[in-house]
Parts: sequence; C-alpha cells; structure tokens
Amino acid sequence: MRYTHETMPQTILVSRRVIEETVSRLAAEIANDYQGKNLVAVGVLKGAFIFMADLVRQINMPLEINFITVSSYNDGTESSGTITVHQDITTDLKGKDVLVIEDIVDTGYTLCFLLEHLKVRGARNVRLCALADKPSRRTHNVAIDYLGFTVPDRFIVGYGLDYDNRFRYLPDMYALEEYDDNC
Amino acid sequence: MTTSKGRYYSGLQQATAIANDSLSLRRTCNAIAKVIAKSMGMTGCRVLLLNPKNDFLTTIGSFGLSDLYLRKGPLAATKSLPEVLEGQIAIVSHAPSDERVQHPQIAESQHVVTIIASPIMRGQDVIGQVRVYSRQERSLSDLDEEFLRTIGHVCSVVLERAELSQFKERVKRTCATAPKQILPTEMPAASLKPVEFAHESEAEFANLLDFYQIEWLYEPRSFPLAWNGEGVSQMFTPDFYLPELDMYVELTTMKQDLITSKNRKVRKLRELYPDINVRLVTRKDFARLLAKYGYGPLGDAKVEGVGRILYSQTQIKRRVRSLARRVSKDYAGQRIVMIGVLKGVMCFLSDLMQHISIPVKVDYMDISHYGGHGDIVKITRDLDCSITDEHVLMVEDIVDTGMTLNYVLAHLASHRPASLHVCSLLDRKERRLANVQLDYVGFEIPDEFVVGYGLDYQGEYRNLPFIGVLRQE
Repeated sequence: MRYTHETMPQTILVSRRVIEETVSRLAAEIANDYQGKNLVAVGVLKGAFIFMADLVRQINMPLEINFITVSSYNDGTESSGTITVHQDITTDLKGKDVLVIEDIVDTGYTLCFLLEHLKVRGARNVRLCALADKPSRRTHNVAIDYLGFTVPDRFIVGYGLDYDNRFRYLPDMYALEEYDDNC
Repeated sequence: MTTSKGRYYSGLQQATAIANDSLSLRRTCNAIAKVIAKSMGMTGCRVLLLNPKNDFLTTIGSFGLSDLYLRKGPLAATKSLPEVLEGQIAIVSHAPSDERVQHPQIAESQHVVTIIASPIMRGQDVIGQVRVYSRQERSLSDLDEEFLRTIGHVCSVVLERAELSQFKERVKRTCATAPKQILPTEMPAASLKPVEFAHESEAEFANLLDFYQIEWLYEPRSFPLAWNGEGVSQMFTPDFYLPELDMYVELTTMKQDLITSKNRKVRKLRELYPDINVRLVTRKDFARLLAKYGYGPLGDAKVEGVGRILYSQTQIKRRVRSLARRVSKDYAGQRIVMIGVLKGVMCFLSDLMQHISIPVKVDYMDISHYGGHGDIVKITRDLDCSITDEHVLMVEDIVDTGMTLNYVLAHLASHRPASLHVCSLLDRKERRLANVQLDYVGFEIPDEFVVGYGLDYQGEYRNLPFIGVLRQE
C-alpha cells in the first residue's frame, strides 16, 4: 500500500481555525500551570516545529526554548528498535520544569524513551504536550498532560506533519488518501 | 563510475569557467584550488605566487587547509621543493620526515602525508606553484602530471589578467595625480613569528575570526595618509586584513575622543584608496557580537527588559505574507527546500513556509556558538535530506556581521544545489563584515539589540510574539 503524493491532499481533517483555537487553549492552560516556574520547552524535530513556534508565542511568561532530534532505527515497525538522540539539548535541566512539545503521539515508543531521557538529566519534572493523539496505534503507555485533539488512524500531513518530508508547510491538517498499487 | 580522466576533464572545464568569471584574484584562486583538490581527490590545495625579488612564495588562494598551514608565512622557494623552480613536478611521499619540507612539524600535526608541487609557467619562467596535500600516500600518474600542468596554464592566465587590471588601475590613478600606491606585490609578508597583539580585544577578535575559520593577517600593511615633501608624515595601519573578504578591520575599543580621530583616519584612507575596503569595529559593536553568542554581557550596560516594540505582531505578519508571495512568484512552477539555522529562525521560518503556495520541503541546521579561544565553528545538526540539484532558500532571522551565514552558505554550496538564495527577516546592514547577498529582506533595522519572534538575549525572550528592543541602563 502506498499513499498518493504527487498531488495535493484533498481531505481536511483539522482546519486552520480549529488548530488556532486549540493552540490558544493549550497555551493558556500551560501558562496558568507554570506561572513563576523555570519552564523549558523542548520541541521534537521536525514535526513539532510549527506547533512549537505557534504555541510558545502564546504562552505569556518567560520560558526557554530547545529542540531535540530523536530517531528510531527499526525493521519497519515503530514499536521496537534502537532510539538515538541526534541533537541533544545543551541547557542544564537540573531543577527545571520541562515540557516536551510533540506533534502527534502514535505508538508512544519514542516518547517513552525521550521522557525518560530528560528525567535522567535532572529535570524537576517532565510533562508532555501533544497537538494530536492517535490512540488506536498506542503500544507504550504515555500520559499526555496537555492534549489538543484525538485523531483517527489515518495518515496525517500538514501543520508540520509530513509524508516523505512533503506537505509540512500546509497550514491545515489533512488525511492522505490511500490507494492500492493494483488499482 | 567516473574515470579519473572524466574527473579531470570536468575539473578543467570548471577551472576555465572560474578563470573567465570576473571575481577578485583571491576568490578566483580559492575556487580553482577547490576544483584542483576535488578533481584529484586530495585533502587541500593552494595556489602560490613567486616573488622574483626574493624567491618567496605567497599563498594567493587555498582550499581545505587549516589556519596553521596558511599562517605559517611565506615559503622560501629555494628551500621548499626547489626542483619546482626548475619547472619540474615534485612529490613528497612522507611529509613529516622529508627534509625538503620547510615546516615538517605542521605537516605532521595536520596529518599531511603526501605533498605534490607543480610549477605555474609563463613561457620558460616559473611564476608560481600549485601545491596539493593529501592525508593518504599516493603516487603520481602521467595523467595527474598532465592535469597539473594544464591547470598551471589556467592559473598563469588568471595571474596575467589580474596584473593587467592592476596596471590599468595604476595608470588611471597616476593620471588622477593620486598619491603613490603600495602595490599588493610589495605587501609586507606575514610574520613567521606567532602574532603578538597590542591589545587584548584584538586577541579576542582574532579568536572569533578563527572560530568562523576566516583567514586573517595582523597589521600586514601600512597606508601613507599624508606626505611632507619626499617623506610620509602620517601612516595608518589597520589591525586586521581578512584576505577572503578582502577587507581591513580596525578595532576601536577605546574612549570616544580617540574614536573620532580614528574615524577621521579611516575616512581619509577611504578617500585616498577608494578600492580598499576598510571597516571600523567599535567597542559597542564588538561587545554585541560577543553577547550574541552568550559570551560576556552586553557591553557595560545592564539589560532591563524590553524597552520598546520595534515591529508589532501585525506588522510582522503583513511583511511575512508579502515575502511569501514574492518567493512563491519567483519560484513558480518549481519546488524549493527551505533551510533554517535553529533556534532564532523558528517563528519566521514556521510562519513563512505556511504562506508559500508552491511545494516546500524544510530542513534544519544547528551550529555551535563561539565558546572562546581555540574554538572552531561546528555543524551540530546537519541536513537530513540531500539538496543536490534542488532550489534552496536559506531562511534567516537576522543577518548582521554575516559571518555565520557566510559559513553556512559555503557549506550548502558544497552540496551543489540547483540554486541558492537567502531570505532574512531582519537585516542589520551597519554591522556587516562578510559580503553576503540577501535576496529577500523583511526589514532593515538600525543598530540596536533586538529580541522576540525567535530572537533571544542569552536564551530569553524568544517567545515574545513581537520584535522589541532591549532596554539598557
């Protein structure tokens, strides 16, 4: 099975307006909970880049920004294999409140590893903020502290999410059409 | 698989094209050195000019060599591989132990094993050399020799053309009864001794240049500014010369009244020597440059939060949209790869890409920040995808000295993209050192320390939705 990628995706799953409202709601919740604390926001590249940029600008308090790149090498399934942190954060996390910002929670495998990785680095606490949750794919249990919305088990692109590095720049979120090679 | 003959053919093709391009001599020679090293599969290369008066060789172009190699000073042609003076090609197969090598300890520290030197001829005379360096042992085939000889002819033509244009300049200037000119060939050679700086800030500036791997010479040349009968009554010696940028830099980290007198000297120098590119870097400029990399506070001033808003959210939004429209129009029918250097560009890149109406791929880089003496810039996150034959748009939050951008563009160009352009939200022209061309600019801003919309001061203020100016006490 492949996904069409020569043409633009057609089905809008989450519109720009809904995304904007969601980002505002999450930012308000976060600002409320972290007021007066040393907040370090850690965006997971590349998918969370746009979400991160939009979210932090609405969190009305001083915070520090970091990006991290994680990848898992495996045999096709996402719930096994070795995870490597490519570009780690340089900030000292000791005694700080860390908020991981992720685009979509899928199997939860990589995130489990990442949250643990940050805890080991001495963070006072580590929480997770995700724009979207795809619970149907979950293999590892992850608690999402701030969640945007839940999405069905479709291949989603746009607003930072990609298919083969395409479509990240689209301002809305789309579900890619599936088609069979035999058609 | 390309044969070495094929590689040499395309190397010569590139070299002749470069020779015919109207770049400065330094740039032409740098580009040719790169072609030579790449075609031969060698680590580094340099093009050297022979001074007939004292038989010294001066580097006029190089590629892939460390500062140590470039700054070890002029080579005595009669001692270093003298057979090249006779028009022969010389090969050193184990540099650290070969007595024909003038600085074997440097060769060893740089792991250079093989050195091949080939003459640049004009008629029967040797006028310079091409030297290639390798970290592996290698022999010299007939084809290698043929390539080196031919590229030598290309260099010879390049040099001849440079001399011709210099001569034309001289004639023009004599006619205009300008003061006598020191010609580049009479430029004092770089010192063999380690440099001793007159001032601490000069040493710090040299460290910063080293970090960006920008070649420099300390006080290499004095400019007569006033004449008294036969003699020179006033001289001016700028602190640094940056050969790759073809620029002189004078640091003034002292009191205001001294700056005024220096300003006057710089103005005079510009009047008398219009083709000399000279920049004054003040104490404020310098402190800001260091502060930008989280190194030292912002001069003597204390930061007191954001003083005023320079561009509001709405102003930025409008400008980003108009830039996106221009980019979409200019690249219509194509797809582009947008590349940003983290983290400052996060807001701009994120907003810009969402307003582009043509297919976009995005990639991110991160580079290390200046950490003091002996540090060298490193790419800590490189591109995920190949950009060869792609149309690349480098997206920047702010360009001031241009040193970072200069470094990143050279890195990107080495991947041979189909095209490479730059889009920067902010342009602080006043502070420019490296001459980088910006194709799309959001706002030209005054010389103030700005934060917000991704830009930080020591890690703070990035998440402000507007661009503000720091308040300093």
